[in-house]
Amino acid sequence: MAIPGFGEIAEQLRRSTVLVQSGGRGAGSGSGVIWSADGLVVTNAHVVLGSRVKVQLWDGRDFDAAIVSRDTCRDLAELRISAAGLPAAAAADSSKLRPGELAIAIGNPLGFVGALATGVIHGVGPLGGLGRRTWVQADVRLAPGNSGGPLADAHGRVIGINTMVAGGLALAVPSNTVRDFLSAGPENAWLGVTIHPAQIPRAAGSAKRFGLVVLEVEPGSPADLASLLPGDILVGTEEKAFDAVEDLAGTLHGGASRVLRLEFLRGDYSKIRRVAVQLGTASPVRSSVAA
Amino acid sequence: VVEVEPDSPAHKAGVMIGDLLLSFGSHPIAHVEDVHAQLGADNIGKSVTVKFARGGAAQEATIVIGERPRGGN
Repeated sequence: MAIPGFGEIAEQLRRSTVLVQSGGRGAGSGSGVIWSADGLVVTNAHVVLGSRVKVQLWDGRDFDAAIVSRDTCRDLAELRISAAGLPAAAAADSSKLRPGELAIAIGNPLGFVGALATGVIHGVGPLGGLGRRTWVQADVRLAPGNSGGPLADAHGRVIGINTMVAGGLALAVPSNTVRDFLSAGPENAWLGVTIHPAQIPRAAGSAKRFGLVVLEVEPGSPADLASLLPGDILVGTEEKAFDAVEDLAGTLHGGASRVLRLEFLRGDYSKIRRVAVQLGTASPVRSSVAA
Repeated sequence: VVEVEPDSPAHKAGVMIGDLLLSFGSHPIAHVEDVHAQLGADNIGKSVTVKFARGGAAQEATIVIGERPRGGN
C-alpha cells in the first residue's frame, strides 16, 4: 500500500480547510474545517460573532453559511453550507495523543490563505489560568486568522481546532470535544447570554470571587425573560458557586425545560441577588450550551 | 468592563466590573476603539465625565485620565 508523502497529506488537509468570514456586527475572519462532505463546517465560536457568515472553499467557491449551533464555552460553532461532495477532513481520537507527536496547522493567518505550520504536541490537558478545559497544546506558530482551522497529526487527521495562543503554545479544542459538541442534542438547555470570565473583588483581605460577566442578552431568551441584564455578573447557582466557565455549561447540560436558580451581582460586589430562570431550547438557531 | 486595575483612574472613579460605558466626554462609545481614541497622550491629566449603565440605570463618574505606569525604574 502506498504511503502518501507529507506534501500530499498537507494538500488534502488544505482542501479541507475553509476561509470563514463573518460580517455585520462582530465582523471578522478566520478558518474552518469541513467536517462532513455534505456541508458541515466546524470553526471557533469567536470567529462567527457577526450576523452574516460566508465560507470560501480551497477552490475559491463562496457559500453563505448558516450557524447551526454556537457554544462560546467550548468556543465552537457548527456551520452548514449548501454543498455536497466536499473534501471532508478525517478526525483522530485526541485522547490518544502523546507529547512529541508531529502536529500540522493549516489556516489563513494574516491574509495568507492555506498557510501551513508544523510543530510537536506538548500535551493534552488543562493549562494553568484557563480553567479546567482540556486543550491540545502544541508548539505550532499560530497567528490571527488561524482560529477555527485544523490542527492535525502526521497523517492529516484532525486532532483539534486551533483557538488561541498562550504561553507561546498553540491551544486547540480537542477533536473529541468537537465530536461531543456536534453530537449534543437539542435537549441541552439554552440561557441566551454571552459571557466573559472575571475575577470579582470582595471585601478587603478576602480572595477574589470568580464570576461570569454578562456581555449580551439575546432578546426573547430565557435570560431576557428573567430580566438578566448586560453587566450582571453570574456567580453560581443556589447549589454551587461557579469557579470556571465550564460550570455554567455544566448547569445547562441536558434537561432543557426546567427552572435554574442563578445567583448574580448587579452594581454591588457584596450583594448577591437571585433569579429563577425558566430554561428552554433555542429556536430557530440553537445554542447548545449558552455562555 | 470586565476588569478594573487596582488604583487605576477607573478604579479611583468608582468604575465597576459589569459597567457598560456609554460615552466618554462628549463622545458616544459604540466600540472598544472609541475608548482607545480618547486615551491619547494629549488627554493625560484631563478630567472626563464618563456615562455608563449599571444595573440598567444610567450613571456618571469623573475620571482623571492617567498615564500608564511603565516597568523598571
